Amino acid sequence: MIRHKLQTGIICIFVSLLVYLLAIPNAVRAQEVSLSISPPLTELTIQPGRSFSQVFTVKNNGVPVTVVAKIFPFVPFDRQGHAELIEDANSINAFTGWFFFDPNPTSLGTTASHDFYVKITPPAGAEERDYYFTFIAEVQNDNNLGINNSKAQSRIGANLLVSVSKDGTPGKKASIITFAAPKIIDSFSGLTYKVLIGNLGSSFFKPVGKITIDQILGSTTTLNLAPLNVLVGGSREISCIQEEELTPCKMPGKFLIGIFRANLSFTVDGSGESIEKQIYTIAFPFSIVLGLVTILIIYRIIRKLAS
Amino acid sequence: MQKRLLTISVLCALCIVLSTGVVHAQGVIQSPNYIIQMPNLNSGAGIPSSSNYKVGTTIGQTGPGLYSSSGYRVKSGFQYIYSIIPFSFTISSVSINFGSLIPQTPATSTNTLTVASGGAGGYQVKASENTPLKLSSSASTIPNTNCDSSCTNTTAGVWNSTSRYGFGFNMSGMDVPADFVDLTYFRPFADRSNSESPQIVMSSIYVGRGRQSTVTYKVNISGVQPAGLYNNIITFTAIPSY
Repeated sequence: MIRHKLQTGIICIFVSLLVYLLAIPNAVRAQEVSLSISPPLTELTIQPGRSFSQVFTVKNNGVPVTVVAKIFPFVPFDRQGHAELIEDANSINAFTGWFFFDPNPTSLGTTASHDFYVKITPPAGAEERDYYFTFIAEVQNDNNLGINNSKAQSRIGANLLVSVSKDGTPGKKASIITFAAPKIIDSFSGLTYKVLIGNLGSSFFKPVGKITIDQILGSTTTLNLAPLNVLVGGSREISCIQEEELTPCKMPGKFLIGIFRANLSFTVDGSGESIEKQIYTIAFPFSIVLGLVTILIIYRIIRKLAS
Repeated sequence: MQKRLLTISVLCALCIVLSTGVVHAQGVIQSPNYIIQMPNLNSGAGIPSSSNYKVGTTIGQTGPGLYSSSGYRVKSGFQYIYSIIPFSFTISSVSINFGSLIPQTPATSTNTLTVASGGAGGYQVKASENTPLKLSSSASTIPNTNCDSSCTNTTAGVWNSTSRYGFGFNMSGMDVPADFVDLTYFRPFADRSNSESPQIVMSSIYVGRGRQSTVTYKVNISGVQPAGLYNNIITFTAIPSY
């Protein structure tokens, strides 16, 4: 009896494994186009006239597709790290001598991947400054005429930040544009800090630092800044990072009371002089007081009416 | 007999498990806190194996002597963030069929967009069309929608009226622009043939895994719309944050 149960158990496990390993990974829906790219970001400081080769790996997790590699310059689109591709021919042509890669279409079967080798060579006469690009893998569409339809075309990108510098130490300068939080809050409303850092230098950088919050006569809390790139001439809203997750810079705890002194301090790329700013916030349980006052008033009204 | 059958079954299962566990091509850097999938980075890269490597790979280090000899310094991948999750983008269906169009009877079709940006810490998806829906044999087009009163590439408007003609789209789900208040709000696609810039249809500044939205495409024609087969191409570009 026990032996029979054991046999049944093993066969069940075997069948389950077969279903899991064979059926599920191959579940690609008809017409589904799914691409992934790695690495999503490359930061390069390079001397003019020198070369560097980067590999962008594109993997296809959908139906078989044909992919073409392209590189476009970009400018910052907003303060949140989004890129605005510059796709006009003049801008693209201005950098054709910088990049060497295979522009021919590449077929990718389901679960296949392809390494796109990109050789980057800023010309010897290239100006010492930052240049920003996005590597794009573009799926080629077939022209399926015969019905009224739109065709969705997929493109996936990875950013490439290039700082051209002869000595490898481009000038980096940061400023705190905004470090703010409400001056007075209700104890239940939460306390979130807004951090906006500007780049006044000639090369992109990451702020490496923290917000230290001292509750007067209380405990100290530290929020670590996410080391996000701030590009030249722009600014970026900086989130905080907790256990490798980007999060809002928010004071933990559901009930806050007292005076909170927050000190923002960071360095450029983790070295050099620390840049700091301090702000204060008062947390008071206004909602509780309001509730108590309301109850008191109602109580007095009821008592008055009763008498 | 049964014993043999059992042995063969277990061996088969083991073979399948072991064979699917083979990893090809990608290099891996691993520590108790980080696992980094990494392609070969450059001609002189190799795969660093020192226990001191904790985060995104750095090549051509920061020492001035090293910089002048190699001529470059590079960092790949996002530091301090789960690099194990690749940046990926999925469109559920590339064919958006409207079938036979009947005047003053709106036709709709949908597909879904899915983004995983765990290794990127944020992303955006932009959309644009190559032209408005166009007859392949002539210059006739179904114009982009102006909604019931007005809407633009960047601001959605209500489009319920069957006497308002055109082609547009609605976004619903995660990380979509706030102006798509509900399923009645539409925008026209940015028209690249008219030098219009692609517009954001999904975005987030935070790490996202399996962020999904639905695109609803809508077309409505008048009785005087020339007969024929209308087509265009909608391009969705997904880019991680820098």
